[in-house]
Amino acid sequence: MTNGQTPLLTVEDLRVTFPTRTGEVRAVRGVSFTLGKERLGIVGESGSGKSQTGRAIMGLTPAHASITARKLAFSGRDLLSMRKAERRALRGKRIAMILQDPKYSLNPVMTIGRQIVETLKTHEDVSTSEARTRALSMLEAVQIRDPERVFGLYPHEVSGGMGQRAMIAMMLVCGPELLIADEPTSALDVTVQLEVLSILDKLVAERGMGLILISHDLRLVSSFCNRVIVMYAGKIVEELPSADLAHAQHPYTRGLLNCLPTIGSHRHPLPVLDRKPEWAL
Amino acid sequence: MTSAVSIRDMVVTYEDFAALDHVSFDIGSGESFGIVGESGSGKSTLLRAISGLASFDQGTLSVNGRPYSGRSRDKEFYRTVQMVFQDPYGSLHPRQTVDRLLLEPLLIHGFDDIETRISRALDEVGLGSGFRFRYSHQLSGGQRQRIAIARALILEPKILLLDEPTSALDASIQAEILNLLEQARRDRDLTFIMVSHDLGVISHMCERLAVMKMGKVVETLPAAALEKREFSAEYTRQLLVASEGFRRG
Repeated sequence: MTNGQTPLLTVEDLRVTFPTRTGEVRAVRGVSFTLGKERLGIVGESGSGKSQTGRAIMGLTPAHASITARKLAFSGRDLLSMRKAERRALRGKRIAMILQDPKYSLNPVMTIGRQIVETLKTHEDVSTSEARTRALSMLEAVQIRDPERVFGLYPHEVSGGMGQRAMIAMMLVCGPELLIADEPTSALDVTVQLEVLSILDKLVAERGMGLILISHDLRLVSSFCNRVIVMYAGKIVEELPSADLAHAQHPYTRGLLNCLPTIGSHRHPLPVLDRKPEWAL
Repeated sequence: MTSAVSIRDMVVTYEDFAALDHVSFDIGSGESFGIVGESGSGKSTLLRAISGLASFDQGTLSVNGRPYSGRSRDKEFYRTVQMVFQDPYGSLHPRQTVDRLLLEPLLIHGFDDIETRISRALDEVGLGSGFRFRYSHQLSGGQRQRIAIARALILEPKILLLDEPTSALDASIQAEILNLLEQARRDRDLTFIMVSHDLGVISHMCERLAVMKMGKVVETLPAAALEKREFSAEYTRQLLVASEGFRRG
């Protein structure tokens, strides 16, 4: 590909393997996709390798695991051969990640404001007062009504929805080009989920980021993303535009769509997935 | 319809916080009753207050016509009422085999024919005797929840309290567990009180539901009313919109 058309992210044949006492666990087994400034959803059930795919891109795979890929490149630069310091400079600055539960992923002994300022100061040469101003305006951007007050609060003093907004603020404050959101709303109450998603939706659109949304919720992902990758047992079983979800071919995708109870559909018993061993081959 | 569970003005307070604030309803025998609400709405507290895991300070509770108060519940109560918890990773004893887990309630209540009961309970939840001598860490989340259901059903209760029984599970496993619960209810003519944050699950499983917010019952309505959108509380509408998923704009 020529300049200007280099995709934001290229993943080719990504494999993540964990050695265990009982042999190797191959969590990701040859995942390939490219991502531009678009929204890609990765869907799968627990153990499908969706989170490990995200973590491998972010560089957060545990040290004892092995990662291989024919190519894992972020805006044309190979991530796997990069020095650790370079990777650190990317992480948080140009690639950011939102995790599932703000209760566990924010630092409990640091105020929310300090954590955002810390991110900024790690990656940019800014004065403390400028960092503070930018942190406050970022908190405002995630629709926190009283940014000054929340800036000085500890994570345990805020609700889940507020904590998740703070995490979004922290991740977006450096203006990343790629955002990986791993189940960003599944720890939140249903009505709060929608608020957080619409904030995320707006910011991603305004700032022109590439987004990878990792979730178990096929419907959520399809309403949020342009394109959906469905993973099963470490592999991609189907990739399709969100609009075509109703025409999904793979029985696993169709099964996932069918097995949810919804208001107004009377299906007793609910259809269940008949897992075929060949899906996992 | 005789009521299986009747609650009047139940109040549960933790220090100054009213977790349940004058909650009342009647659940008919054989009915499946749902409770929806967000975290902190008091829906789990309600189940815990019924089962005696939490003490209620005011109000009355009667189960099959027998009154209960505070935290005291007799053996007869637990023969009638059993509970399935949300987290199958936390609700099974990590150092007991499935066999031991299922044996304990039988011993407590002095059942005979233990051998047959355990193997029948395992068959009923679709696990079979191969699982009998495993530990819970050797089971998947869905299998653990099946064991938790087997443990509740083994005493042949009449009323099952279900606290988010599928929210820790994958969607496809959720469908299996919901089907299992429905089958058990049909076979044994059980009464369900099911708590969930998911309106889809509640409308699938229950005939009637209560919407809770901040310790109060906002609205009680038949599940069919959700479909026809015949409800009055704004909060019910919010929950319904949320259950339909994200929409842009």
